[in-house]
Amino acid sequence: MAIPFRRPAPIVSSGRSPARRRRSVGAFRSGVLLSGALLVGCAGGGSQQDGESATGPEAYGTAMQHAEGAYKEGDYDEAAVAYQAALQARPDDPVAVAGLGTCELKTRQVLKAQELLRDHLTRHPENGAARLVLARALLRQADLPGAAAELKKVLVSDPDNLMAHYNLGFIAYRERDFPEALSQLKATLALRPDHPEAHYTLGLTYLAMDRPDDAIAELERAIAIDPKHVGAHFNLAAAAARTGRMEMAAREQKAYAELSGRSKAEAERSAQVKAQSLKAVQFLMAQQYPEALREYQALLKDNLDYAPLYNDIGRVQLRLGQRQDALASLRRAVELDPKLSEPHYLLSNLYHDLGDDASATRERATFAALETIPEGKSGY
Amino acid sequence: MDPRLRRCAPALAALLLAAASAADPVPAPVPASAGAPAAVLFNEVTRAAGIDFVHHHGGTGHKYYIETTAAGLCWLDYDGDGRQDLYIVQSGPLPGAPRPPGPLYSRLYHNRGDGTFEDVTTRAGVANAAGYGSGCTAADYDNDGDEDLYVTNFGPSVLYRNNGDGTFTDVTAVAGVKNGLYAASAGWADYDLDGRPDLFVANYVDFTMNDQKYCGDIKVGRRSYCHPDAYTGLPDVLYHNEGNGRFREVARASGVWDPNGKTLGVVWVDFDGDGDDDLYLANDATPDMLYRNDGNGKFTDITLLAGVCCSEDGQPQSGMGTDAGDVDGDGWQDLFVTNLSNQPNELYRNLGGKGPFAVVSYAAGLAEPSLLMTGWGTAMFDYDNDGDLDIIVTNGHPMDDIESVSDVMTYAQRPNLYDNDGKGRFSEVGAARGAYFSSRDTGRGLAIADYDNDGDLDVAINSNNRPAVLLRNDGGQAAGHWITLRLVGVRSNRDALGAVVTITTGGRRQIREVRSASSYMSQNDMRLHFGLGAATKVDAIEIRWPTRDRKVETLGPQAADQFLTIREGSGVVAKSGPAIR
Repeated sequence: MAIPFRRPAPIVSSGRSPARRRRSVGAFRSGVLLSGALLVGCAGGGSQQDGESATGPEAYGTAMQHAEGAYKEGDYDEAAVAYQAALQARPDDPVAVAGLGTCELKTRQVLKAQELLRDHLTRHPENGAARLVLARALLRQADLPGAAAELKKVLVSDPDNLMAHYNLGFIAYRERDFPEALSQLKATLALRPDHPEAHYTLGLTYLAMDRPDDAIAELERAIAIDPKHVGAHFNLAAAAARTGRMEMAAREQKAYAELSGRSKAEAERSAQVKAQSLKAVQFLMAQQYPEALREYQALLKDNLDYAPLYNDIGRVQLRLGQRQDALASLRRAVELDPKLSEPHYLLSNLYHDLGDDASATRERATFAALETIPEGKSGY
Repeated sequence: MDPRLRRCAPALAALLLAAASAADPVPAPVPASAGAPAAVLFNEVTRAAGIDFVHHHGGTGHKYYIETTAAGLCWLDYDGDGRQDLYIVQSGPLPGAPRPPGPLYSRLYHNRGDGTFEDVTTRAGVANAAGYGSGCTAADYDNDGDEDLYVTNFGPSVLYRNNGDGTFTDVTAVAGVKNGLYAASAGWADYDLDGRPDLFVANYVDFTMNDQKYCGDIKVGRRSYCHPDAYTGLPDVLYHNEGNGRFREVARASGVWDPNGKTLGVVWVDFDGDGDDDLYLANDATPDMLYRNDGNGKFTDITLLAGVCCSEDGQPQSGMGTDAGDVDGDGWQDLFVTNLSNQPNELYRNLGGKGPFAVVSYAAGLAEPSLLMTGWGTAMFDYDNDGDLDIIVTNGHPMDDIESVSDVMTYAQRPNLYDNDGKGRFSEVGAARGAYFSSRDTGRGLAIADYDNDGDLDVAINSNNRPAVLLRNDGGQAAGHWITLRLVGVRSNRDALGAVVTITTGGRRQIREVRSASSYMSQNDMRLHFGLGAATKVDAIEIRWPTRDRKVETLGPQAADQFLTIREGSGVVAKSGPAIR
C-alpha cells in the first residue's frame, strides 16, 4: 500500500534510544494487556460520525488504515502522525484518540498521553478504550490508585470488561489487597477461563498470601494454557522450592532457563571462549593491537565455527588498518551467525570507508534491525 | 477526598515538617524516653566540612559508555584515630575532553575530629591519578593493624598498602591484583575463613575506548549513551589472599566465575547463617547472582533456587547497587537491589536461610517510588535509631538526554529515603528529612558512617560529574538510643569481616554483619551501629567470629549510647561516649 506521508524510519544503533521502545515487563506487565484491550476496542469500537471535518471520511479511513499498519510494524511515531491526521478528519474520534494515546505511551510521552485522554474523557466519558489507555498512563507513573479509579469507572459502564477486571486484580495484588485481587482475578477467569495472565497473577497472589499449594495449582494452569510463560515457570520453581518439592523446582528451573535463553550448554561454550579471550581484552584495553590479534587468532584453532571470535578479530584488524583482512573476518562472522549484530555495524563502517555505500546501507539496516529490542524487554 | 490528593497528603505534611525543621536545623537533644522521637534532619555540610571534591566523568560529547557509571567512595579509618576518613574516587579525563580546571585525582580526606576534613591525598599517596576510577574498598588485608585500600578502575586497578604512618604504597604488581578490565565494585571478605581477607572484583562490560559505538539516532545526529546490551559482559575475579602479600585468582576454581555477567554491585553476606560469607552480585541487564559458600573454598550458584535473579516475572533487570540486612527483624538477612527506571528496586525477603527468597518490593512499599528513578548507591541503615533498618537510595538516569525522549523521567533525580515501620514495610520520607532529598542529583556511590562520632549515621554521596555531598545526621542520636561496636579479630581476620553480631534489648533481637563493600562501588563505616529506640541498655551481645570453628562469644549487659571496641576472646577492651560537637 502506498503510504503518502510516511517518514523515513530512523537508523538506530544499539543505544538507549527512544526508537528501541523498550519497557519493563515487570513494572508494567499490565500495560501489555491494556494495550491488547485497546486493539480489541479498536476492532469493535466503531468511529464517531458527528463533527467530521472537511477532509471527509476517505481521509479518515486512509489515515486509520495507515495508523494501524504503522502500529503493527512498531513504528509508533508514524502511527501517531496518522492518528493525528484521523483526528483532524474526525475530531474526538474515540478509536483515534485511544490509538494516539497508546502511541504516545509507546514513545514515552506519558504526560502528553494523559493530557490528551483526560481532555477527551471530559467530553466523552463513555470511551472505555480511552479510559483503559489512561489507566495505563497512570500505571506508567506508578500511580496505582489513580489507575484503579479509572478502571473502576470502566466497569461502571461495562461490568464485564475483561481488561478492567484483570488489571484491577493485578493492581490489588501489587497493593497487597489480596481479597480484592482474588475477587477481580476470579471475575476475569469467569469471563475467560483460559486467561493465562489471570491464572498467573492469581498464583502470585497465593504465593504472597503464603498459600504455596494454591499458587502451584494456578501457576500450573497458566503453564497449561501457555507453556512458554516464563514468569509462571520462574515462580513455579520458587513455589516448589518453598514447599520442599525440589524435583519439581529443578524441572521448572530448567524450563525457565531454556525459555529465557540461559541454557547451560550455550553459556558454557561462550564461557570457555570468553575465559580464553581475557588476555586479548587486556591487550585491547592497553591498545596493544598486534598482541591482541595474536591472542584471538590463536583461539581460532579450536573454535573455527565461533562467530564472535571472527568479529573480535575483524575489530582488531580494523584497528591495525588491515581492511581487507577485516572484511574477510567480519563476513565470516555474519556467515556463521547472521544474528550477531556487531559485525554488521563494523561492516557498514568498513563498506562506507571503501566507497561501497549500497553495502554500507544494507549492513547498517541489518544492524539496526537486529539491535531493535522488542517491546517488553527490560530497559528504557 | 480525591484519591490523588489523599496520596499527596503525606508528602504535603512532610513538606510542612521540613519547612518547620529548616528554621532549627540542629534540634536540641531530646531524651528518647521523653515522648515523641525528635525530628531527624540530614543537613548538607559538604563545603563547611571542607569536602571540595567534584567528580568529572570526562565527557566530550562522544558519549563514551564509561561516563555513565562512575563513581564510588569509601569510609575508612586509615590512621586508626577512631574517626572515619573519606576516600572519594575520581574518573576523568577522557581523550578529547576539555582541559579540567586542575589535576583530576581521587581524594583522601582526613577527618580532623571537629566536623571538618583535610585533603591528605598527596601526602598519603593514593591519588590513583593514572586511572579512570570506578570504586573502592578498604580492609586490613595484611592484618597489620591498618586499613589498606583497593581502587577499581576502567583498566588496571590499584592496591594501596597502608604503611601505618599516614602513607600508602602501591603494591598492585607484587600482590597480583591488577585485574586490568572495566572494574566496578569490589569487596573484601575472608570467604575461606583462613584469617586473611580475600578480594572480589566485579567486572562490568568489554567496552574499550577504541571501539566506541554510535548509539542513538544517526539520522538526526542525536548521539546517546549506549545500553549495556551493546556490550558483552566480563567475568569477575576472586583473589585469594595467600598471606605473603600476594593473591591468587581463583574465580573459576571456586565457582564464582560467570563470563556473561555485567556486575556493578557486590555484597558479601552470610544469608544462610552458616558462618561463612556468601556472595550476591547486582548485574546490569543480566541476571543478578547469588553464590552460596559451601564452606570448602567453593561456591554454588543458587540464584534460580533462591529467586533473586530477576523481577518477580523472571526478567533480568538492570541491577546497579545492592545491600543486605535484616529489614523485618526475623533474624535473616534480606537483599536489596537498585535498578534502572521502569524497573522497581527489588527487596528479596529471606525466607529462613534455606535458600528461597520472596520478592516483596511492592508489598514493602519500595517499588512504586522507584519506578521512574534509576537507583545506584544504597544502604540499609538505622538513621533514626529506632531499632530497624531504613533504606536510602541515590538516583539519576544514565542518559543525559533522557528528558528529550521521555516526559516523565529526568536526568538528575531525587534521592529516596525510606523509613521502616519495624516490620519491613517502608514509607518514603525524604522530603521531611532535609532539603537534599527534595533536590535532584546524579547520585552514584553512597556510603554511610558516623563520621562525627555522635551516635547517628551520616551519608556521603559521589555524584556523576557533580560535586560530592556530605549529609550530616542531626537529631538521630536524640531520636533514639544506640550502641556502636568495633570488632577486632585475633584468630579471625583483624577487621572481623564476616562476623555476625546479634544484640538483644528487652527481648528484641537485631543482627548486623561486619562487611567491607556494599552499595554501589562504595564502602560504609565498618563499625556496627545499632539503634536502640527507648532502650537504655543492651541485655546481651552475641558475636559469631569468622573462624572455621564459628566461635561464639557472648557479652553481658552494656549501657547504651557508647562506642565499644571488642577484641576477639577478650571482650570489651575500650569504651567511649559520643563526641561532643
